[in-house]
Amino acid sequence: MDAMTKYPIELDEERFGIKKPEARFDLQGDMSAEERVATAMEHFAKDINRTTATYLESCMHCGVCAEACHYYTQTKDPKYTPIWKLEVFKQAYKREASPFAFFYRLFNLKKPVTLEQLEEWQELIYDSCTMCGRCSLVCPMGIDIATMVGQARHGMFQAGLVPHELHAVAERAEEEGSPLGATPDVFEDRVEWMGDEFDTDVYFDEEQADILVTMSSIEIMKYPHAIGATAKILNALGERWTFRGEGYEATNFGMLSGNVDWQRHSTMKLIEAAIRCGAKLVLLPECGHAYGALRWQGAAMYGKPLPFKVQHVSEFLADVIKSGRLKVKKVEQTVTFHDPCQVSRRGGATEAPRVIMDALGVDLKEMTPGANQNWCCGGGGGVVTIHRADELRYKVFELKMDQVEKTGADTVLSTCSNCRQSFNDAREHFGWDKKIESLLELVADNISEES
Amino acid sequence: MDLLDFASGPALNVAIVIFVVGVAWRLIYVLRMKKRVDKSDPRGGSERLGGLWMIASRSINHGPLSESIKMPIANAYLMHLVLAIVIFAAQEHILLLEESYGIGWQSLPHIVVRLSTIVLLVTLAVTVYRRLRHPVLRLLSNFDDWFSLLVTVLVVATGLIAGLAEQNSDTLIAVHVLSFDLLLIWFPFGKLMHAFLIFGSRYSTGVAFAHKGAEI
Repeated sequence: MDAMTKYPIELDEERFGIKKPEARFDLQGDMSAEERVATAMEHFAKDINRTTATYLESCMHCGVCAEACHYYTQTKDPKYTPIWKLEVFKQAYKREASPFAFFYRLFNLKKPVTLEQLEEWQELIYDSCTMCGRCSLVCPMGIDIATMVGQARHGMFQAGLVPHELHAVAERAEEEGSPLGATPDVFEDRVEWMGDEFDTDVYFDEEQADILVTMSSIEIMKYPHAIGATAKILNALGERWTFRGEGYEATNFGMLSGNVDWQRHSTMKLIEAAIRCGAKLVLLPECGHAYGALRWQGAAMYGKPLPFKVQHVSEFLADVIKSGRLKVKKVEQTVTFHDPCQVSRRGGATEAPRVIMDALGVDLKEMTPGANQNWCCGGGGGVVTIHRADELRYKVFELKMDQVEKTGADTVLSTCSNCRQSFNDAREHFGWDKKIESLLELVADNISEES
Repeated sequence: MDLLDFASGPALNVAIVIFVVGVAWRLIYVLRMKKRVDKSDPRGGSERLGGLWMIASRSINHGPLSESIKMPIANAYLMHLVLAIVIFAAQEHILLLEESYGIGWQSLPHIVVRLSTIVLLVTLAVTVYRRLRHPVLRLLSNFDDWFSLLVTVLVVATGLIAGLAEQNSDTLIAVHVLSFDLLLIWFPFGKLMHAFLIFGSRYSTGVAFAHKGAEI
């Protein structure tokens, strides 16, 4: 059975993902309960290093992280306390790998983890954590909880404990090269279409280029103007750039679902494509997790430093604007900006979009809290794909709506297509009248002829 | 050998050995684990400085905390401040150190130390109350949390009682020292270890965030 038949896609909905399954399969494979637990723990243990062990030893159970989490804040359900989402993994660590594991086992002070616990924790690890890292900003001990949730997902995936839709998109990405049907042929068609639409040159499979341009499947399939906008800007700058059929898809559902091998496969496609065309820069699209996957985790997948520079498109635009290479027209618009967690708070590129908006001259009304402390939209970490998480996702989005409303702006700009579709899906759900737009596309629409 | 001799002699010596060996074992065990090397291109800036800055800044900058959490944080600050006064500025403690190790410093007036001890007990009571009442803390709390609080309260309360006694009572002092022995023995196994672990934990995150140029 091909991926499209097995996991059909919702093509016409605001949320672009796997159709709501008639029957859920949140347990993959046919392992026994004991095998699942052993596998989950073995793969979680593989990730334990000096830093994670220090974190797992350090928690004081102060509960401060709960106050930073949109899931707890909106529901007041203590199970959504970020560090509690790791409780079974802490339990396993203490019993199996901690300095006093011997005592924990001898006196059965920490009981062995059970499959029932892991099944219960699937919701906490996947449905109710976007790995936005807000909790990591407030932990008095400085524990980076979000990173450990990502590691816990490694164990969960290997044990076949991934929510149906997230497993489906990860499997589709592994089999087809794209989680949402943006296969190489589809992509090439869309690139040509956008070249025509924007009346600009597009480059595909160029043998040599300075910049390898990548896209996210959401952009390719739902917001294809990102393709034309990127091409238009790069052409205005006179850059030598290309898309490559063997490495264009920047999303990484291997990473989000917890399969390190699939994460590596997706990352290596980009790395190999960049090396093959001699790219000095890999330009990442408006996608939050794609930035984390290549910019910060790419070298770990490659096993050595990457032989090229990696930039989120907002960083690239900020650089060319600051250097005077790209000039933009002033835009008389009042906007607010939604910082994608993985680009700003977790990625360190918070300043870049503000440089761009400053050049555009928009009237920016920052959210409160904003920038690095911004509330997550609730769609990251693969959560937006999971239908059973919808109610909770909408609940946490109410925080976002409140933030936006308080700015008085009618338009939200962002630099993440996943945030954009989460906003659009929630807009439809709530009948909300605010618009969310791409900063990249706003730049492309306002390139000055002086450039 | 009376109870005080036992408490401040063999019992204290055993407690110190368990404390030192236990703390060293827990720290060395973790430090000997494999170190993750980040090969990604750093954004710039010193990662070590980032780590050190995180150790300091996380005591000042609490990020996007809502108003509701500010009171417990203030309570925690006050608790640690008066704890330091009680441990390091009480005349009895300094005299004991001088007798045992020949090191000492100026103590604070009795009244300051006594008041600090009372404040410390109040902050501990607030901590217990919150842990009993707050749904998140109730869910997170385990034996370690309660036992660590118990031994801490024991040491502080017995110290206050011994200090307030009109006549020096060897028995009261012995109970205080014994409770301190118990705290030393428990220290390496439970959450009191945060006194050491806080540096490693904050430093690690500070280094990682500085590498990415993220806010520390």
